[in-house]
Amino acid sequence: MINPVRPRVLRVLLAVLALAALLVVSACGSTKNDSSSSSSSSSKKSAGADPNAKLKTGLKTVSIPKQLGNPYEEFEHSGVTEGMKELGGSNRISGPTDAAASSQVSIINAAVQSKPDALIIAGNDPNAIAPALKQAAQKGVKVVSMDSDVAPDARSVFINQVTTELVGKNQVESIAKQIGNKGEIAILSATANATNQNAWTR
Amino acid sequence: MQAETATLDEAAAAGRDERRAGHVRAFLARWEALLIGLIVVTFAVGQALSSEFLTADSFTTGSLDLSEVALMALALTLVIIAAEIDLAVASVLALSSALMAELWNQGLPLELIMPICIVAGALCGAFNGILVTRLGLPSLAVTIGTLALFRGLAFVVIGDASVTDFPGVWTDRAFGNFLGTFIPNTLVLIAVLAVAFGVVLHSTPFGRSIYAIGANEEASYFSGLRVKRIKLILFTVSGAVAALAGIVITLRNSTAAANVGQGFELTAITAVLLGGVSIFGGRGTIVGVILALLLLGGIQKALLLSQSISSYWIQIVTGILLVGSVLGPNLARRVKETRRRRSSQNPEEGPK
Repeated sequence: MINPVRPRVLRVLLAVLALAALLVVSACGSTKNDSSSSSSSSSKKSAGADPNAKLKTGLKTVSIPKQLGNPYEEFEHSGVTEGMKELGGSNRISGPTDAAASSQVSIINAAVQSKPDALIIAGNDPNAIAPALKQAAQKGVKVVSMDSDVAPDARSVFINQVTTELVGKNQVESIAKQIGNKGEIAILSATANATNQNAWTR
Repeated sequence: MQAETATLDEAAAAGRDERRAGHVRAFLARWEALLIGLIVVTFAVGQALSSEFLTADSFTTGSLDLSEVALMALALTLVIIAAEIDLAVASVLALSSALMAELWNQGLPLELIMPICIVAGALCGAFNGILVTRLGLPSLAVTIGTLALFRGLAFVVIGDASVTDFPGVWTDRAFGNFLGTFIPNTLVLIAVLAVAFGVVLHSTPFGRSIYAIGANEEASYFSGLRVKRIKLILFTVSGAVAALAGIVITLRNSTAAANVGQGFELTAITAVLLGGVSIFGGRGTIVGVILALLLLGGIQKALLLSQSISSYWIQIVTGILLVGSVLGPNLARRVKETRRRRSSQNPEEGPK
């Protein structure tokens, strides 16, 4: 994956993401930083939420990457852990060993049983993991998706690090530069059903 | 049912003495006892790792996680007892899922799609069976080939797309619990099939033939058993059950995709071997396989619920169990045989 964002920038960005995630948890519905292009109006996004409300400390979250051992995902989710630590809470990373939706479902179910305040998830499939996430919400666990979105009615808020269109555009531009603006290109994607990768490909 | 195993061995290996039959019986009894012991230990450790372990919730989600593997393991038990193997089951599952999506997109009703998928799975299994029995190819090689072939076909059918608009009535059935209890519907399906396979394997002439073929194929052939036809039936059933598992996983996740269930065949085979079924055929019970599934499910859930252990350990522990379940009985038998040979100087008693 070509990543045009520099690591330090990314780290700052991730801290912001974690902060935003916390705001959602504590204030239940900040609309800040939700740059999701879809016009999803989640029922939990209450209009009156105050983004500057004081945060509860000692919040416990579980963040679920698409897959363990993927450098990008590891970095992204270690950012969540760092952010949570800064904010006086704690985060546990628990991910599947393969980037499959069904493995993520087991992880979600187990994570919910440990009764965290929130789940922060990068989805492997927007719909396959939705029922498990909805059950989590029923049990009072807030669901935040990031990086790769899930079905809008299965989460409270989606945090996007960069618009998917932008990634696609930038990648195509840099490729075009390299091949002198002509020729065919092949696009390599990782998990066939991942929301973000499909959008990038488009 | 161990007694029946023994009778079979006598019939198949015509002339092998009573002692060996007794040995098999004792071994099986001990293996299942060992599994129960391991399950108790796992559950105790699981409860120590997380207070959430022994809950209805764990049971429900844990058995849902393993439902497809359990279905495939049941059919695989028969195949492996007949001294063959079917590695293509997870690919048949994916092909069934893909086919389901494609037919759903074509506008067919789900009630019609599901039998079509099962028939397609049966055809896949029969294809394996024909290659193995009529062309005499080893099932290991054949099913490694069709593992890739069927998975590839699944991608041809729906490509990278995933289909998610299956009707809620059916997805709820696959995801939901039985009559308001904490027992998932899929577990009821597994139980029904387990009873069916158990009865066929342990108390019908067909089941006895499977043991006989696994114990000694040539002897079975010369005793008049229709070895090829029985094997063909087993592969066909394995394909059909794998397709059923494909339907279950598609509805349970309300998503059909060609990449579903990668690696499930290995978990299913682990369950079968861990259940005391000999990889060389001729030995094993459905009860043992069910105990093994319970053990695997317990280990998975315990590791998932523990706060500090990475999910990599699920693979590590599963791998160790697989090696152990093949190695353990093998070592035990070797020790016994050398001991017996030393005590009774009977030259005809050597290993086959």
